[in-house]
Amino acid sequence: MVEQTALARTISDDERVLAALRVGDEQAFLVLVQRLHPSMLHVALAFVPSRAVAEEVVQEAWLGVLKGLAQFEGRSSLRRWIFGILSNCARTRGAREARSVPLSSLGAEDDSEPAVDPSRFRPPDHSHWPGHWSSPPTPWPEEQLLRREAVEAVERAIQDLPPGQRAVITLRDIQGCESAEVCDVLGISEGNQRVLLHRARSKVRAHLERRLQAEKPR
Amino acid sequence: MTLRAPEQMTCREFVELVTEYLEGALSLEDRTRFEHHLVFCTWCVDYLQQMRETLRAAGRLRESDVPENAKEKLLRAFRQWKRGIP
Amino acid sequence: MIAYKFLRVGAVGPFTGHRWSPGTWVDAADVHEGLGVHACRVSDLAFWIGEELWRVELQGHVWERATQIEAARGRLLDRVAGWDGKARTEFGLHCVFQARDIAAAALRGLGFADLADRLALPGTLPELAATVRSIEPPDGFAGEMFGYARDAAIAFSMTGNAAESSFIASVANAAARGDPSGFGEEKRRQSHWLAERLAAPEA
Repeated sequence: MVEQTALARTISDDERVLAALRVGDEQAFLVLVQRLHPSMLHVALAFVPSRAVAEEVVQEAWLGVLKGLAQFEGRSSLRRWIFGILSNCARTRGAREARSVPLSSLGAEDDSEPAVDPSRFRPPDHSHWPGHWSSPPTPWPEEQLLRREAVEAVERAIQDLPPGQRAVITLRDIQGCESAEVCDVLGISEGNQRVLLHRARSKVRAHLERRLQAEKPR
Repeated sequence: MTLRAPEQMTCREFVELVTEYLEGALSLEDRTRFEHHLVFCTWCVDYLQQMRETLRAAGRLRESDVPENAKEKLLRAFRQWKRGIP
Repeated sequence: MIAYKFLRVGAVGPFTGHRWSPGTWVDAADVHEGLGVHACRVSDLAFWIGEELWRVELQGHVWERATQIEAARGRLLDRVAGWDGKARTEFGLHCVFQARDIAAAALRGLGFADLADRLALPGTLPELAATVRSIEPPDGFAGEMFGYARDAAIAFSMTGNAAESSFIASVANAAARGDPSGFGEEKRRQSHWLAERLAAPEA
């Protein structure tokens, strides 16, 4: 049995889903919604100021997806196409909303945010090993990570992120998009994307660390 | 130590470069410094592993709950669209 | 060209996770900016301490970088049998006592003759660890130099991390010299010490 590459698998998955949608398969539609809808909300929130507006934008995007289904040629992945539609709806709506924050400025959220609390390292003037761990991380037990609580902690941490960071980590790490796709959808540069991803992942890791520490028997 | 061997990476610098390292975006020089640090600093090895585990955990969120009212709205839209299918 | 490569148990690349198969040629995707096959010259060994040490054969153009070499193509030849857990421990101990010797020499030069003598006395790791724990560190630069010996001895006693003692000794050397180049100097010295022990010829 020849092993399919990830891309080949995506293509054949897409073809299967498209075929099902085009004949009105409700189950296939619900599965797709389940997979993408929460992430679409996170992305919409990068463009519009409120959750209520974001939900409207996502509903509108789904309508756009249905309308465009017959013509969709599959030149890009289904996911990329759907996020593209969402991006357009979100941008248009964002431009109309008086209090929307341009995404280019979201990269500058909290400029001097360290990945780890500086107190966990020896200070720069320390006589020995300045900048090295003073409170180092301890390895996470595998079974703790696989539990529902860990996944919930990650979900909560992502929900608490500022919009730009949340959108990037959603697309990259939840959805598994390539960085070029993310830059396209959000209209940001590669460098910008990387900074947002770094801050997002650092915060989520820190949150997960606190959660796992709290769970340990004393 | 920063004074003594300034080209050697500290743990504090390491944690700021983890994302770039995983992206393959570090310069060859920084990547080498980063890897030199990994050779001996088991704490930073653990940190890098935690980063990998964090992003893997995020991947498990791909299927998550959609609020019922949103689902219903979408299902209604889908059924309406369906009726138009030849 | 023959060179050396440290890998994890099972001939696994420590950074890429790539599983090497002895004898099988591996072609690098792209040799620019560090994506080629990496290997050590003898002088590089101490920078890359790992679980398994392999002799490798490299083909094509070889890029010489500061602490490693890089080629378009390489394959594992055979394991350097002399490099095992025991050898790694010996290397670690060597570095601990090197840190001790550097510290003792520096302390002597700074006028702390008694302290230097006490530090120079122990011949085993447990003795050295006990000694450093019993000493109240002096202030200033003398304290810093003493600290390298102390940290090397205690850390190695607790974790047996040879790469870490190699690092500490190298920083100690840079500190003693008052020159960052002392770091690389000590690393290269350690590499040649290692090569001699393993009877590992220069490429």
